[in-house]
Amino acid sequence: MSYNDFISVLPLLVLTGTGFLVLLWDAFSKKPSRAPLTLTMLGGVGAIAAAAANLMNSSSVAFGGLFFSNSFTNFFTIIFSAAVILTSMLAERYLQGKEVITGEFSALLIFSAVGMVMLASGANLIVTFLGLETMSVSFYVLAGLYRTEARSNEASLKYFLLGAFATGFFLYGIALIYGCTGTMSLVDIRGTMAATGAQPRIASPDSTLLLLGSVLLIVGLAFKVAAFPFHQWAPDVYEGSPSIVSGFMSTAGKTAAFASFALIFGYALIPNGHPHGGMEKVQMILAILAALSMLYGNIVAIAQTKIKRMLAYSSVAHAGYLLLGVTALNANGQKGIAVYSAVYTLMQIGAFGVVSYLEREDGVGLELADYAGLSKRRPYLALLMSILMFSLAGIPPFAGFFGKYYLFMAALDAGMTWVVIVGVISSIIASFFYLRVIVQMYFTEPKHVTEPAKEGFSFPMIAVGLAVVALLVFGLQPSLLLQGIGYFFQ
Amino acid sequence: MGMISLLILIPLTGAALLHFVKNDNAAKIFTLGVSVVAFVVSLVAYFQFDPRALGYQFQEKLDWVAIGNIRLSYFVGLDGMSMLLVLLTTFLMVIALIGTWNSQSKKVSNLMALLLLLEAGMIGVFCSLDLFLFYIFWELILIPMYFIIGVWGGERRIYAAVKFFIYTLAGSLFMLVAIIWLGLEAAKVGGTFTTDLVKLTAISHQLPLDVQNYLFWAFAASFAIKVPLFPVHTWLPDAHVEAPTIGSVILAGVLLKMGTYGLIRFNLGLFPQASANNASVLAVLAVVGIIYGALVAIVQTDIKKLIAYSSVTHMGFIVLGIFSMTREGLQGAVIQMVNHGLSTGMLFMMFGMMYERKHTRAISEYGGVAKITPLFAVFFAIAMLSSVGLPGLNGFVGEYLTLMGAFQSPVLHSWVYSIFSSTGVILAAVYLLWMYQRFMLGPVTHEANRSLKDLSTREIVSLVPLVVFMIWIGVRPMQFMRTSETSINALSNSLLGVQPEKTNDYQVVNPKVIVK
Repeated sequence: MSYNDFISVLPLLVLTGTGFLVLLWDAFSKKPSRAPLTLTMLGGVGAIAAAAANLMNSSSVAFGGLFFSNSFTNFFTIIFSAAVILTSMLAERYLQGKEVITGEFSALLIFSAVGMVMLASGANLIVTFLGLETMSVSFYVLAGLYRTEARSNEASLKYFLLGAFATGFFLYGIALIYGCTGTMSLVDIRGTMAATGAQPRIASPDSTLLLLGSVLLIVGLAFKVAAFPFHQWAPDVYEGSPSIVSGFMSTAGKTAAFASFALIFGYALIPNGHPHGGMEKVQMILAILAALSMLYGNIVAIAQTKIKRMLAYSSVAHAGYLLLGVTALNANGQKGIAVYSAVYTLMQIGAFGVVSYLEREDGVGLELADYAGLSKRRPYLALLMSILMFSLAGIPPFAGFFGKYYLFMAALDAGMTWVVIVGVISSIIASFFYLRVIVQMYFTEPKHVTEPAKEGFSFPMIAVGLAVVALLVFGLQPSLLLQGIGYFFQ
Repeated sequence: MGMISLLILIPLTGAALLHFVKNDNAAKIFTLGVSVVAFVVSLVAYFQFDPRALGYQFQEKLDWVAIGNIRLSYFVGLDGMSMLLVLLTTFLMVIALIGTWNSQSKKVSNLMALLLLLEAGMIGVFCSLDLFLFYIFWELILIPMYFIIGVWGGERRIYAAVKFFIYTLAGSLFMLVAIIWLGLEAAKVGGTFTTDLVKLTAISHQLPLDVQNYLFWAFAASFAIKVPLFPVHTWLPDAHVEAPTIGSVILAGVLLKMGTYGLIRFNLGLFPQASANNASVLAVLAVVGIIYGALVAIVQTDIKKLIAYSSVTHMGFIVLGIFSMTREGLQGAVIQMVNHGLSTGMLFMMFGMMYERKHTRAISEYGGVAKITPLFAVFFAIAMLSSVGLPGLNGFVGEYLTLMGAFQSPVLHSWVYSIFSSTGVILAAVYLLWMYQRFMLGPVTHEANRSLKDLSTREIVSLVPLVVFMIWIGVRPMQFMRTSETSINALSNSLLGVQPEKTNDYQVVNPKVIVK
């Protein structure tokens, strides 16, 4: 343990420290205030600053090989922290009037982010596991934040029960991988896989065990990213949770799991994008999961009449797109995952932000039909929402398009043309329901004639606005995003 | 800043500034001013353009994304074909604005901003020399057109807008895959991933033939939907009928040309061999479209729908000309692109003027209108005859050249295409003249129509330039063709000697071998 170790994981320390500070503040303060949220935002800014300072670090390993600290982990840390900041901005008003203690909310938000950073920087499967659990446990509670509402309780319980299963699978997978390779360190696993190729440490039957272990890890992670067929919990949980929590869970949480996907499969088990030792089958399994997630998520989303459920199913499809990057297992795939995660986080939090804003201000906004004629009532909000929808649908010049571009490119480069074709077809399907929101907002008349509402500048509006501006900037100048990522393990 | 960037930025800035213009009239005047400026700039470009020079002129290249082995650039330039299409775009914008001045009253400044955005996108499409940039502009057009149809359209506008959007997106996503794939293949041949059209043109013929074929179809699918080619044309009548007049004019006048432009620039330009192999398939679809569109047009009772189906027919001629892969056919296709923009644009615009007066699209609601509005009848007759392809007017030249190209095409190998598509010319006369007769001639069947007003001065002002160009192109087509001549010649020279790949299906098998 040295001074450098602490510097390398500084963002993690900043976040953890903020979490404790918030808890302490909450314990000692008499009446509810906005201080915890402000503190959370500051913590997020601090973590971003720390990560940005570390960003150009070439690959380094801290605490005797437990943590990675390189451009990859720091980039993801920035995404998580940005998500924390945006969510706290949205929470500002959303939580008012609900029986929710902001201190509790803020602390859980931060601690889930701590888990995410651990997932994205874990260089040892045990750290990955700890990260996964830290994140998930926080989510279970966050989902049930509206403790007086049955739906919220149900979401929490459902998430917890099914999440516990996934944890079991993941842990079992770790055990099998350890049994095969004799190590839990990703660096060592990579070494073993690269050196011996088809023969892991122990002779032939283990390639089956290795395969089994990988599949179990996939199941555990696929559950967290809500990829088909491990998505069943997602629509209910996203619908039942408070909107801002749904936004956070479906973006940052997913992104963290994908970062871990990239580390475990892209870096360790399938080094340099050349699968061997039974790993071709893993690649095929991932490709099939990707294809099914994209198709299933988008097709089912069409049938939804509630906007949160629609976004939930579409997030299954987005997990599919991201799985394309995992499937490709090459440098472009890694970049694609990073770019798309960042962009998707902005889009989805923005969309849930609009939903939560309307829910809070107008008391409606959960049904698709509530958006009828929104362009007349709230022209700016409608404009922001339509940009978010176009971006989610992958229409240039918005950043969602570039994310998709990278992922398609990675998969084509890896020779997985058929999955890309499936991706294209499902994108066409997806455009249908994203357009429907715009159709509601611009082309249909509102059910009740209402006066145009005053759209003042408030934190939530600014948060959504920031997300949209970022989408435009990254869409027109993707280099900004790409330079941040640098080169992953090259 | 270069000429082309200026041309793209003028409407783009105009669209942004319109946010601050709330007054309807001011918004219209401002938009007209912006589009006139754009038109003037494109004229300046035209006079600086050297029609004899080879290659792309006014080139501008800026690095845009440069990460690792991926280089994307903002790369624009013009050749003769794009020059003509850019002029058509800026010209029609001005005309359409004047012609439809009073037709919209709600949210005018929003409509105007979308139109300017559309103009910027269209100019971008015709000038992009980087496939990726092309794709961005191509998709950029979707959004404003979607809103124009969806917000300002007729009764079934939502259906039409969504259908338009999804059809086009479906095609263009396959194009996106093709662009990435082409870039990756180019990396195998030429070293780096690139979407630079000039570089790709130089190496695309080295790709394996099956890859060329796949890529050809991915591009063709996207462009065929935009053209639109039979059987993916069904979005067009819906979009045309539901769109507001100015939307229909731009849609028919310019937007459809993006498809045929793409076929020439990318399908023929990048994959000559694959084009030769698949030319007959597309030519057959074009001929089917010509006849089918004409037959369906005959039975239409809705004037806008009739004009929309006539577009299917006319665009079929252009595609036939393109896939004849001869100099005549290509030259005819290019001039016909301009012609169709002028004549169909004018038909839509004139009908829009009538619609403003009477608010019905049914032919049966009119009859003998020529007696009441003689000026309208004269102008409408000119547009109609230009669309029919009467010698002396512009349509004739283009159709004649495309048919001639198809007749002597080395890749189609058959005069059947010309024979069948010639019937399209006859059928065009049938449905257009018959429509004119029911619409304009004979006794006045509805007394209410007696109060119809003839063309106003503003309307005449918008129509006269169109008529001037129709006659000008009809009488002295060479003046216009000279602009695109060099680029078309260069393209057709590169196509020269390309023959469809011989398949083994028809080889005579030595009977002795079989008998043994």
